[in-house]
Amino acid sequence: MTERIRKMREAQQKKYTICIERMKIYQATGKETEGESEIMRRAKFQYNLLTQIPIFIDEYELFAGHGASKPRGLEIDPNNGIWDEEEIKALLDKGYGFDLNDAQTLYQMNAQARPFGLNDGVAEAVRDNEELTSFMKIGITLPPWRSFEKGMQLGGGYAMAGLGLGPGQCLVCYDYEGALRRGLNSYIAQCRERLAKITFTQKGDYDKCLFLKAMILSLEGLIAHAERYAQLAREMAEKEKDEKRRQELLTIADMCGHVPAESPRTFLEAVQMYWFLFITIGCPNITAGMGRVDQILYPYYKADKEAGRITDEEVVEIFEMIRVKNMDMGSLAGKSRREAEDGEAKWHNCTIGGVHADGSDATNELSYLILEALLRCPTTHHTITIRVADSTPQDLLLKGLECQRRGLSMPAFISDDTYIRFFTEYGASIEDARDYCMTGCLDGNLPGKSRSMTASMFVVPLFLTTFLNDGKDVRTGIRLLEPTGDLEQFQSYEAFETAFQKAFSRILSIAWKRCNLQVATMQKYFPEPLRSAFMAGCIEQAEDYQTLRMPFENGEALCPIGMVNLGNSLYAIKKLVFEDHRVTLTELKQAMDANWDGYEDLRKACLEVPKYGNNIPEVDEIVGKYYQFLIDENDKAVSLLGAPIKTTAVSITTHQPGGMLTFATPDGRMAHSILADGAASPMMGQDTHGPLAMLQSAMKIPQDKYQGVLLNMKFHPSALKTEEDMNKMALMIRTYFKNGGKHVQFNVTSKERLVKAQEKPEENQDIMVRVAGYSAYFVDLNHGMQDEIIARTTNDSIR
Amino acid sequence: MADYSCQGHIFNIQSYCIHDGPGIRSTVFVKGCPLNCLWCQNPESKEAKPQLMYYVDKCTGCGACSAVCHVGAVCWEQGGKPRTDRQKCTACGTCVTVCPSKAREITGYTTTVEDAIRKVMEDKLFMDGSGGGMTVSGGEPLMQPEFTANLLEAAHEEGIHTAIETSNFASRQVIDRVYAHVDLAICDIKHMDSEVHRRLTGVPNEQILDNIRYIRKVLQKPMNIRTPVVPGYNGDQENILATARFIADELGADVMYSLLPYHRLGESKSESLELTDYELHVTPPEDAYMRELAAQVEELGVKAHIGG
Repeated sequence: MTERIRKMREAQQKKYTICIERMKIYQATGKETEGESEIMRRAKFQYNLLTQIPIFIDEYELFAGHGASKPRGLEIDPNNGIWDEEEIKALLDKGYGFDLNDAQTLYQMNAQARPFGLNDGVAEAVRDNEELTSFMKIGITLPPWRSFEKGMQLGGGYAMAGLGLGPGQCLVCYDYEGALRRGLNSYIAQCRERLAKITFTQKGDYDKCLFLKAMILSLEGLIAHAERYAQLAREMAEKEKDEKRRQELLTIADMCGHVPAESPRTFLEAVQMYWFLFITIGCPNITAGMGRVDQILYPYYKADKEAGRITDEEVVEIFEMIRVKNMDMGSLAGKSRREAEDGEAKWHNCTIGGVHADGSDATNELSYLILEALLRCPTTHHTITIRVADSTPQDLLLKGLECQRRGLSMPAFISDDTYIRFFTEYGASIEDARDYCMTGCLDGNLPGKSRSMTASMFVVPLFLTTFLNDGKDVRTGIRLLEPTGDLEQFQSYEAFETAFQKAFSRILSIAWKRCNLQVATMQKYFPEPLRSAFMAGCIEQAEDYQTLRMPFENGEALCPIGMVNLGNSLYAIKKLVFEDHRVTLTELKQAMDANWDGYEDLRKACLEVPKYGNNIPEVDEIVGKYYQFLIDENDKAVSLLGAPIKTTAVSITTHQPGGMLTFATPDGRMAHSILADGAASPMMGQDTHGPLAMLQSAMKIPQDKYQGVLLNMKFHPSALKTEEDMNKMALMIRTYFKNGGKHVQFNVTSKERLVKAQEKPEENQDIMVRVAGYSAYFVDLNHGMQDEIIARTTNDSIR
Repeated sequence: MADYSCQGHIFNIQSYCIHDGPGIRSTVFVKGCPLNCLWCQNPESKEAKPQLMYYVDKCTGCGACSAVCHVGAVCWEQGGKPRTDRQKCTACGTCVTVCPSKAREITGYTTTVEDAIRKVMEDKLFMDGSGGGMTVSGGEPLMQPEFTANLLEAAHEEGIHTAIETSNFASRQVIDRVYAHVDLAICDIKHMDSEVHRRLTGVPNEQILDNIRYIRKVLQKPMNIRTPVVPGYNGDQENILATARFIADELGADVMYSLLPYHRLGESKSESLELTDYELHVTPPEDAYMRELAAQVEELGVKAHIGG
């Protein structure tokens, strides 16, 4: 970390400050534009925001642009609906910096005019629809619906299915490469040309005309935004006494006067333009993909290097600065989601490596320098993902593992083979497919050519308990399915499974309606003229990127949570009820209803049934079978935009709230306890046969047609001690990827985790440690030995 | 062709071994050893027969084990934790099945070459992807020559690389039989002085060193030499450098010398075996000392490596 970066890090206050400028501008624009068309009101809000929000330039930064009006600020997002007294109080209690006058103003603004949100749109459509309201109240697609009251939609709550994907929060990466290549003036010119062609003879011409005008106005706002920074930098330079800093400020002024209107002339200018775009069109979306940053910036780096204008040390410092500045940006969710996600979670995912459109290796100097910046400046954001193809240099994997060894829990590794197959199997050209990048946690999308507007988190074990409970949700008693009937009617596992699958298909069809409804609501009430300019075909078609069918249509995804619990549970039923006749299904159900109280022996028997994650075919195959089942079913679904609903498998943090809603399950799990994390990860503590057995279980999951399949692995730093260790781990990753694996990320176990494992060994049976050349499970060691290993663990923890 | 029905006593087949030869490997640990090293780090491998392991930290002291023992080997009093009379215990495993906290386990079982190789080959994808294979370790693989030889041959029939970790304390006949299917010999030298060797391990070293020369020069096997560095016993500079000179003078510069710092895992295992005669109190060597040793070894023209 250079002195400059260190000072920038130090200047960042620990707690975020709440800002209400965005909200104020939103409300004021709303008043000022009353009676105008919805699309122009959206554009004017965007324009006013960009031309009015207070701006500042930090003391040490080399390029400008912030996501909020104050340093370390979080702007209240109008898309997230109202902030009532209780929510404001929660912010104050949590220790956010929050000006009390601002708090009062925010409260008054909400009282005067509650923003219309997703919840309101959805509520209008489903109020009398018993099927959908029942489904939503139960919370099978998280979170449970709670209120029809207008304005009640605090980020992620209520109407937003899953992780708060909703208005302004898509899984998307805009076409930064094209924007940098062309400059925004060319976009405006293109809009004007298109406008000139409108003859008002076709249906929809009027809407197209307004949409193009809205695009132009917002793009002009973006250019004006940069010009404000240029002006500010010039003013600051005039007052600056330090000559070096004065020159830096003049450079910023020069850059902001040129980009984003025109294409950048230098690497730093390219970063400046990229940053402006990322913070204004990408953010405040917390799931905005950063794109293939090593590819986007490479032409500018190469030119500067060849001209001798820049050194790699300077480039690393700029990448470190991107990390530091990214720490400043966020989006504020409502109280309940903040608690579930533990603070200001965000998934600004920077993708590196992979292949070019022609299939050749795309790794370049920047791929390494981005990782070097992570090593030197280990902030929690932004995250990094390495695309691993056959042609990816081993050195890039080793550099990634070097970060892992330091306990940074990033980068993630993903397989180019299976990601590319996801796109081609659903109809993308091979060239387009090879340009995919990560959006959100590890969902693939094509930059500027696809986006996912909803990824509903579907709590599968909650459906299982509903099915076993005669079709009624255990928690609320709400009927969701036709009565299952007497559980003793099933004479064989096959008969049971047939009924189960029939119900599963039925409930998925309700989930699809739920997904479509959400997207339809977003399309109607939340048009995005500015962002649309950076998505394929939107200017030509003069249409919003949420309604226009994309070159790769990836608009809706369903994300199963707890599939491993389902597989383990079905295998327990198969074995204990139908094969060993240890218990009847009715008795098992009684034990689950009692949360195993008085049925401890039966619970032990359930826990002893082999579990997924140990390369035991009988149970792994059931898990794999249901992953395939979901694909087959979702392939039959038709989304609003005419493509199948995609399936993605990443739990993020929802295995916790999903578990909270779910009663005891036949795998021996207690009521309300957490579900298995990730998608291919075994249930915590239930993989006891080592990492390769776990990977082989995961290979039985058909992963190609999944948008993402998450696998977490835990290692102790001693397993990554030497270069040879890392080399072998890299080969392990490649083998998994060659055999259908999609993603792997490591949890190189921290000292704290080991201390916890010592206290609660039953929950931490899966931590492997290496003692010299010997492997052992940590919990199998005696206390003295454990103490010694704990004392030995000195991996740098993340700040 | 290998005899797949051949039986052997083993106690573990460990997956993802990355320190026992090239690539990612599965290591078969056979049970039973003719040496009796004072610092033994795998005490459960000394005896060929199955043994009871007892994890006192997991034990809740419920006494269920005592109640079911057929031979009265488990002593337990209300409020205390059980002790097992190892002379009486037959390792029948009945107490293991009733233990509610998994504090008891039988280590060691009889297997066939067929079953063992099937287990090993579960990881074939990863072996192929990394240039790995199978390592037979112990215990002492040469103590069960027929099982080990057939297991190694079976691995060759499956097309994977083989390695053996051994003391080489065996007859020339056994050496010839087993090494026919070994691709890499990982050989321990515990001490260069035969008398000291006898004191530390129970056996002299002449036969061991002769076998090592023979394996290298006549059988021409790729080889690594290893020494567990146990401070106060064999970890002194003089012994380590004598070993390095032996490598340089008699085995050749391409033989790598691995220095394995003593670790305490064996103590935990001895506790689990309720061994009362385990009185070794050694502090593991400092990293700096290991690095210095390695540097001196390298000065003699021998490639040195710290760790397994």
